[in-house]
Amino acid sequence: MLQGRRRILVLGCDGCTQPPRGLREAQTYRTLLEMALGRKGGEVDCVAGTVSKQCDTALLAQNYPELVKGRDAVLSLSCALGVQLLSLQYPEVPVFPGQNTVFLGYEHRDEGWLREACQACGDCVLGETGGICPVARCSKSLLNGPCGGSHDGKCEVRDDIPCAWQLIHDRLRQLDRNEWIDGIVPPRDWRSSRDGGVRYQKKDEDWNEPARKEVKR
Amino acid sequence: MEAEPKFFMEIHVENCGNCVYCLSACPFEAISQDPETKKVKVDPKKCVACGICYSACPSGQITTAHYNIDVLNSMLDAAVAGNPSTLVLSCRGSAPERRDVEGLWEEKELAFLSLPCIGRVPLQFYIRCAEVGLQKVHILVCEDEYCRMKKGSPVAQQKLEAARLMLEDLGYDSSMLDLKKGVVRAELDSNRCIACGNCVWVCPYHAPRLVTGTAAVDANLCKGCGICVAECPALAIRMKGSEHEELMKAVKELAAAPGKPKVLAMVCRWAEYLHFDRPVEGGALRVLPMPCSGRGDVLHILEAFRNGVDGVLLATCVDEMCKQENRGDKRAQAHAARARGLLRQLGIDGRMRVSAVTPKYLGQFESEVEAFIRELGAAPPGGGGK
Repeated sequence: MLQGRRRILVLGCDGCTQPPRGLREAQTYRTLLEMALGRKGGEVDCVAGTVSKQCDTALLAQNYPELVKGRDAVLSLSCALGVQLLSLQYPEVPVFPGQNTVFLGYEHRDEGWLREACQACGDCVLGETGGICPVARCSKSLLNGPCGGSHDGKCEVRDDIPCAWQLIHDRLRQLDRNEWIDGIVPPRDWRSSRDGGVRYQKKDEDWNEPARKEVKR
Repeated sequence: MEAEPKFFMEIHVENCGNCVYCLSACPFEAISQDPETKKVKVDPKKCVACGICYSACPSGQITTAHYNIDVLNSMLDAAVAGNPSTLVLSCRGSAPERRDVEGLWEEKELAFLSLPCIGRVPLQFYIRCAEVGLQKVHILVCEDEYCRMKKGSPVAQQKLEAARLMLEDLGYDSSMLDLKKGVVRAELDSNRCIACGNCVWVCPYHAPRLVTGTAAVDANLCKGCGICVAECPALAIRMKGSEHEELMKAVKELAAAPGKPKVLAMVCRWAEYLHFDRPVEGGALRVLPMPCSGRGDVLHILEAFRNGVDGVLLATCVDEMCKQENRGDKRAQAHAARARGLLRQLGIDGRMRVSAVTPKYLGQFESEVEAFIRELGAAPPGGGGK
């Protein structure tokens, strides 16, 4: 991917920080790259830097142009949003992803896992389901669960997946709000999900004021 | 199994007067008295090698391999070789390095001695300080609640009072002994903090908190282990004596010293005593002291290899000896696993070793180093940087 590049910027992102891939990570990969490239001989000149959010044009403008000057490639440690926005805003230098962006999820530090929790379907039902998403966390994205594959609170797909509908039932019972599961939920309008090609949303008018000159870092 | 390793101390019960001073001084209840024979004995499992019993015994019937009076005297002789008028005697917990204390006092020419706990220093040592012609001895102990040995600081203070009386009896000026208390704590730069919450998670003492967009460290809770310094993704936390830049510099210097093979040992200050007092001798081993092995930093491990080191040894405490709520060694293991994954990409993951050692048993660290050097001889080439 980085074949032939010698002057690489490893760019961290201080944004959502789950898990954090900021300056330390950038320096780590800078060192690793330099060691790997150095073995092949020749001049190697990699630098490490970070920006407060790779997915924000205003924040990028603060120090990215300075960091990227004279570089022949950027290795981005942000999610796919940062990689794409860097390419879009500063097309002169090619940007490469330092990691795969896998899902929208949350982190459980004690047990050491990241779990998917949202599929960005665009029509939120969390208010009805006690804060547990059946679209992302039920393997079949059912709205009237659970199905026959729910056993001892586990999903039939894999036994490390808790059955989302078991969780929803337990939670709603705890909240004394059984009415939602007692009825039958009609089919949802899936057009807000992946229907009709790439999604696009215009922000409200008041979002479009010019960016402030000074942004607190 | 090889022969049982030698325990660092011994109570000579045959001449012991059963005064049980050692028993009451031991902060870890490691010494017990046999109800029938009245003889005292030490439980090696509970002992943490603080040495307080050694200084407590009034009849010299406890012998120790670490910092006994002969060792202390020869260290003192070496420290005062240039005839300085002032000695700084500090606990490794709160003033590990000479540069940590310079500027604290008016005197300019300071001799420097740093020990793991001042509670272990026997009275004779202070008398000896007067005898060798020192005008002033500044003793820097940890603040009481910061002490890793629970009672090390209070014991040192009591010893000092006794030493003052003794010095007066001997006709010396007792005000030559001066005591200060200190701490080393993490300091957070809120301008660099990205409020990720990592420090909140890793701290064994729950000292950092996230408040309105930045973390803040509660100074009263911090015990200066440096784990958060090693894990802060924004390099926003500093700790005196183990700053990122200082350690980076030290790694480079240690890697540059001649000798083959080059082994960098990142060693917890409480896991090994003997090698801290010895300078690099141009041999294989280069010791980088850590306030806790959890300060062992992935970046420093990589930097060592980049600068031509052949192997990195991370020496942690054995589990029950960890001075950081039993979390230090575990964080060190986590950092090592992370570093190993990165080194694997270069094919040199076999050149890093994690060893749990304790000063309680003599020779443990040395044999780990020897085994590691043998291992390195058989490891595939490719270490040693460029």
